[in-house]
Amino acid sequence: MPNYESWNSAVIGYVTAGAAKGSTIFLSVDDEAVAEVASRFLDQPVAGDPVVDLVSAVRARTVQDDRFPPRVGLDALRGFAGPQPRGAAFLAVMVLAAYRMHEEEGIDESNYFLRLRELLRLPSERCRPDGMVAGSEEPLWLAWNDHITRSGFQASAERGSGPQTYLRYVFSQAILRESDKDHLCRRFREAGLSGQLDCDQLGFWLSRQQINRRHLHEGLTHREPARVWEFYRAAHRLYETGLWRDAGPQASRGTDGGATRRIECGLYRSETLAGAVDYLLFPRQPGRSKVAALVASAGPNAPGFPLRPLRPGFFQPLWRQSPFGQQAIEFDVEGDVAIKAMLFPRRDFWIMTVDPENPMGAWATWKPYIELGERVLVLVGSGAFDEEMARFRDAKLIDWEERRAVDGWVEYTKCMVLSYDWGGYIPRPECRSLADALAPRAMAGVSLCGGLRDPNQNAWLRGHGPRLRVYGFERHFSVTIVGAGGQVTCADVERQQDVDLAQDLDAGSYTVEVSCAGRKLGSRIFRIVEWDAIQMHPAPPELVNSAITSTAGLSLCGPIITPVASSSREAPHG
Amino acid sequence: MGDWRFVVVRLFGAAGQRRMTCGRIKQAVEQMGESARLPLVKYELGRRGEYYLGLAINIPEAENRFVPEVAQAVLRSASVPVTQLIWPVDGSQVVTFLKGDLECESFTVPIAYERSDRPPEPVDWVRLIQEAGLESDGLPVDVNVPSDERFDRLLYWCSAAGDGDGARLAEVCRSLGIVDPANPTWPVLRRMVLLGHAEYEANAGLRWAVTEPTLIERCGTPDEHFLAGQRSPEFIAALSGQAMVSPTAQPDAPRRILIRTDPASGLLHLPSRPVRWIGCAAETIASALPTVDEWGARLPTWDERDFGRYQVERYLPDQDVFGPPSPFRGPTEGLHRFRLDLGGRPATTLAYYHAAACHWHCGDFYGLRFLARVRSVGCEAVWRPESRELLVQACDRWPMPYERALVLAGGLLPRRLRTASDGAFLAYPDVTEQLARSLCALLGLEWKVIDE
Repeated sequence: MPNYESWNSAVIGYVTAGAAKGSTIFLSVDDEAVAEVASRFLDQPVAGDPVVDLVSAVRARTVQDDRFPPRVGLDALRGFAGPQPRGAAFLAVMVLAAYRMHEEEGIDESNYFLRLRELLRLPSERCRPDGMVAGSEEPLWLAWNDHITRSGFQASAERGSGPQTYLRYVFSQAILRESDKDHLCRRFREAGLSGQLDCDQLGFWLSRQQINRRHLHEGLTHREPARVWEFYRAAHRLYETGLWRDAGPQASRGTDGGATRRIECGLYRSETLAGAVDYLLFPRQPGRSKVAALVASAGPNAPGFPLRPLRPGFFQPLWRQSPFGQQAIEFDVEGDVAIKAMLFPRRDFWIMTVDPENPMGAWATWKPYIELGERVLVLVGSGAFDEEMARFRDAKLIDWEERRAVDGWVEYTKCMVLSYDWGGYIPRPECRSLADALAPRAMAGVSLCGGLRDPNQNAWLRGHGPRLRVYGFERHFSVTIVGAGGQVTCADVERQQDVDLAQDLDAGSYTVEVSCAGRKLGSRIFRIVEWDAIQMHPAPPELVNSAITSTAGLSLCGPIITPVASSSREAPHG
Repeated sequence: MGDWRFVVVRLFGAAGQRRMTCGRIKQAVEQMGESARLPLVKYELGRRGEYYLGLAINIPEAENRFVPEVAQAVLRSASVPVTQLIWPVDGSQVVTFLKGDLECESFTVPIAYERSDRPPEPVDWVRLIQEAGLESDGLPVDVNVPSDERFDRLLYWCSAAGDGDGARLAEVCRSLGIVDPANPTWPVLRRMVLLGHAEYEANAGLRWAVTEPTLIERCGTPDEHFLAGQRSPEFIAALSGQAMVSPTAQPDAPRRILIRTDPASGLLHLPSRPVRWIGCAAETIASALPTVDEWGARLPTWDERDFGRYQVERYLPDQDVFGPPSPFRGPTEGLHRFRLDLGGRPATTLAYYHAAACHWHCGDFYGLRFLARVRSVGCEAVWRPESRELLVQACDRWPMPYERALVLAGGLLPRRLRTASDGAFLAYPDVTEQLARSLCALLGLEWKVIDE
């Protein structure tokens, strides 16, 4: 039986697997997630129910059964074992308890602790387990957030206030509850959804549903796009199983860690120096999944191309792909039983951002949502969506630098969302999804630019920190920056003005909080790392030069003469 | 979209009063800091006296049964009666109440569109590389340079990024304070390529990629290897844990990391990355290089026909300068610099005319200059057995393929020496007699051995 440490490492690996650096990480765990952790992330096999095994491992480490009533002690889970926080597996169980809460149960301490006690096999009472005094779990959450931030992601577990001061940490991580999943299965089935929606499309469909379940409704309408997206993603994982087509009561939980998934694809824009534009198929690494080496092919008799990691979250772009088709395309993928295909969805538009690691890099579907102040490239087919873009601009909702028609589609480059008033705008019905995708959810956001970034860690290098700029729908904002040593800066800033940060900031994490009239409107965490912590690229492209001027015709890759005269690791663009 | 619901109220007042009412609503919203939840108001302009006003409500959780309290509070403080409010009215249904011309007052401040700065002219790296020269990467005379961590950091960063283009590299160099207009990016990359840390492609926006970590045998010293390609402080520390590591600072380049160990000792399994061991790269490359005449004949040709539009400067090999500009008077053997004014943008082309073949060849400055000098005044090199250095006159700097072999002999760039007569020499360390002999033969050089 895997011990607590094994489960702890496996949970940590699972939650961040396939996630792009900079993305927001939630420790959302349900029965299927535990099964997936057991089947793919644990070194040792689990005999029997994975949830029982996880809980047993957690109990063994935290519950003192020799006393009555049994006591929960968390002291041993504080801090880190090497780079990993010790408390992740226990926190996962806490979130699992929230997942098992029923819809009718209000979000309060008594209902929650009833579920937690039930899960930990403690005497049934509506109060904290003995020994687990209020706030004793907070150091575990802080260590978890610290780990997530240090790993280059955005942490999401947050402290609450009043009676939910500590419980808020748990509820901020619980995404779909068990009963929400049942509800969604029923809605999918009743709507007769096709099986080929990608996460964005399912998200749009969900956003248009009248949902009265409080927890689900709040998640789907939250002001933080990352949180909404996490709900979409969880719903899509459920949708992907296809089990909702069966009306049985267990439709929402039948995967036991063996569900097959599809790799979702977006687009990667490639432009030659002469200005010719190509769109390439851009596969995303499946989140929370550990996959073997994969080979994809464009058709039954087409050659296979290995899917090579570009960076966490993404595979390297593949072949040329027309952005708009009549229907979704499934490409064959071999190499892992859990991956059944690669899906290029049928879309009416694409929204691309510039490479988050390289301000001069390529436009691609790097992010699932856009942030305030961000410049995006909107690609639409000519026709209704093109006309709707003009209406957006007439309504002063958006502006762009250039409209460029290419081969039956239209590119709007360097678009910026300008107005908050999308909610009062009535788009054409067929263009609602585009309006939804562009409309801002937050009143303010923080953009970080300049400086020198570690290309692999979503962090800035010490001595070369970023500049900060606030975007928002007010004129002035208060900005505070807090680091491990306390408050670094507190200033009133004008919107869209660069704020230079001290260049001698110590290595560590800093939280930027933007508020207006005392109300918090947005926040962002950034990290400064020491030069000593910079990490080497795992597999740099092998560039071979055989120009006469510089190599005399030898195929040189630095100091090595290679037998290959072309870039052997190039993606097959063509 | 159109997701906001509206609370609609029927009011009475002329145009001025309507504006004032909306002004009061706006003031109340701003005072209460509620513009996110109550983002705008719309009202009718048309009808006389009676008009409808709709306040947008962006509170998804607001129940349909009750007008949200915050909206009532705002309307009350704007002296709008709240007894006959119509709620909820969907965005798409507002038009059933508010007809004709509408005025809309937004309570949020729109973001100003930020036009990007004028995009920089795309850099023609091929031309830039051609033009670079005239000792633009002037190597300092000082031999005992202090360690310049900027270049170590540049290599760390390149090792982390993996690859990129010239513009990105230029940006990073600027951030590190390495380049400025007088000290451009190309020489920095050229040095990294000579040292085996990177490779490049000049025709694609100056694409470059860092090479994988490689230990190269120091020429003539089989138990010593220097590190080329990717590195990081952690990686060097791991190397230090397994072998004796000695770093050597050098000007305008990352430190040389030299290790003393036997490849058979098993230093192949560092925690982060495997290391490639290769023998003496300098000898391997030297043995594969063509003669300089073969190299010169294969350089890209320049098929220009309309020479009349250029100002031409002919390189004078004996003086190592370009002559004064003049109109083109027909081709003569040697290196020429063609200058053209393209609407205020000067363009320069370096070309070598090979009279026997009746061809113009293009290349970089050092390569073409070498051809010009070796074929007219002759070049020479001096080898010092004591220090195992090969001395080359600075004006005879070798074409890049051959200089690569020289630099890879020891993993150090040449140091610049000045003689009493103010002549300048480049001294390449760790060059064995055999390597010197074979390279000088390929280049058709006279070479001498001078004992110290």
